[in-house]
Amino acid sequence: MKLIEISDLLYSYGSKKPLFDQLKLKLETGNIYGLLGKNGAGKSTLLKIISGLLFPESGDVSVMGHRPIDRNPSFLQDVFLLTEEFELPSMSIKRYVQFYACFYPKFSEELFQSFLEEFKLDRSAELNSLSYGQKKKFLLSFGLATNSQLVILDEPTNGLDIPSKSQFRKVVARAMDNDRTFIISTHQVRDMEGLIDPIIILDEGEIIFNEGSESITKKLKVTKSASLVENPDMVYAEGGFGSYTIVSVNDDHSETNMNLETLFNTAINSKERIHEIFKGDE
Amino acid sequence: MNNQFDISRFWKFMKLQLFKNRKGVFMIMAITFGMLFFVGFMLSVFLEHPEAYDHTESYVSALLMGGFIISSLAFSETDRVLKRIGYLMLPISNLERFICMWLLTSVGWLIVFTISFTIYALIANPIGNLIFPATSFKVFNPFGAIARQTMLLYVALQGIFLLGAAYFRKYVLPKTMISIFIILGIVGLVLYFSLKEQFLADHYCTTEDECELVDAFAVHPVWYMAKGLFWFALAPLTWILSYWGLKEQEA
Repeated sequence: MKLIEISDLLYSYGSKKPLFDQLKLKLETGNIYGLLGKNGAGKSTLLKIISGLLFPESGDVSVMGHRPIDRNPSFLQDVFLLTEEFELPSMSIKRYVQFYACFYPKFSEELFQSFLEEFKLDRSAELNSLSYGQKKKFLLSFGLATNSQLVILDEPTNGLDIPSKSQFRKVVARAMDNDRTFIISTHQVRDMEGLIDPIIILDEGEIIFNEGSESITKKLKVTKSASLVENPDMVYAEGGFGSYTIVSVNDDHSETNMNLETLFNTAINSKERIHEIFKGDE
Repeated sequence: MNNQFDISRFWKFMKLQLFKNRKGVFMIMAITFGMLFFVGFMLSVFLEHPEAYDHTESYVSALLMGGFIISSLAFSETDRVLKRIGYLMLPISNLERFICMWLLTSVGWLIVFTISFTIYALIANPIGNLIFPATSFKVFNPFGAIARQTMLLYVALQGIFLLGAAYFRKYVLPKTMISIFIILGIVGLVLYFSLKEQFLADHYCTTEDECELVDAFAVHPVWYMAKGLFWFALAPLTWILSYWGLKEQEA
């Protein structure tokens, strides 16, 4: 089932060159999408358009059958957006839940409590006395407990310490079910390894890649080599400590494990080739 | 689900707003009544030694000023991007957002302030009698003609400040005041140039506010229309524009 359908999206900031021009995107229910892109690629803007916080100049945006720009309560109670930076009201966690949870009919008190315990957060704590990372954990706990159908996380692991990053992955994996969709935008691709699938790569306002891990491993393979020998199957190569990581077309159907960083660099640096390889999947 | 207005959702939002703004409202009330008591009441009686002291004038100025300040703060959650995101993502309709803040800043303020002022006057009068026995202190009547007229005036004008709150970000009150002065200045200039010939021509005027031209203008259909627009159209127009401004908010 299509959860998000965007077609011919045009968006620009003021009179600048459009950030998105004729952008198309289709996302389905039941996935944890990873939205990757360089700084300024338009990730946060796209997430805000999906959430109804920014209005496109033209094009159609449909999220769960709603027009986000209408900001209808029935839409908003099924979308939870956790932005990279945020501001919380000055009240305790207990009060926040008392005043805000009632707006989300599917809010689960039990689930919220279990997330608080996982993140070791005290319900009586004042939100303004929490550190940035703790505030983020609280918002994440609240957002996941709303049981909203679409959860949008913009740079969720920024500001989290190392143990919290693994807690984050655990909590998200626990909160995931077939009726739910996550869109996680991040620079910290290593934090998301094994969690996000499919991968969407946004570059210069264009979706240059939108594939699941199965399709990726089926079509691309990664090998290490001490020297770089050009061959027609090679899509991208990057040098490391005395060796090269080579991404090539997976003609022999070998099983390799490509990390997100290599995939991202391949998609960004060999756009045309990647487009050629995956065009049949569109 | 009704996406425009749901009474239960509306009530939850109102409770949230009351809770979040409780400190701000309390501060405004404390400052207003503190100023009223020490400056508008004690100091003025001490300096002027009036035979009789009437609270009505203080009521008029405090109701209008306090209400305009509170109305300017109605949508303060849209001042900063980060706050605005939380505000706009809350599952509540724009209509509910608007009606809630309109109710709290117009009817809510009128009722709360008038009751508080009546209690304040009841407390202030015996204190005044004790300190200034030569002055008689009139009982404040919230249903008196001037009080009622002020309430109507507040309802008519308050929407302008709500409109400012919906469109301006930060320093809403001064920005709204400047806008009002600019608009009034333009209207004044237009009126001056359109009526210049008549006012400069010979006509009967006294120093006691009697003026042939003003009297003539007071019965002119344009004046009736302007009065009608002020009392009946200005407020609804500013409410509609404020709602629109809220609906068009982006983050």
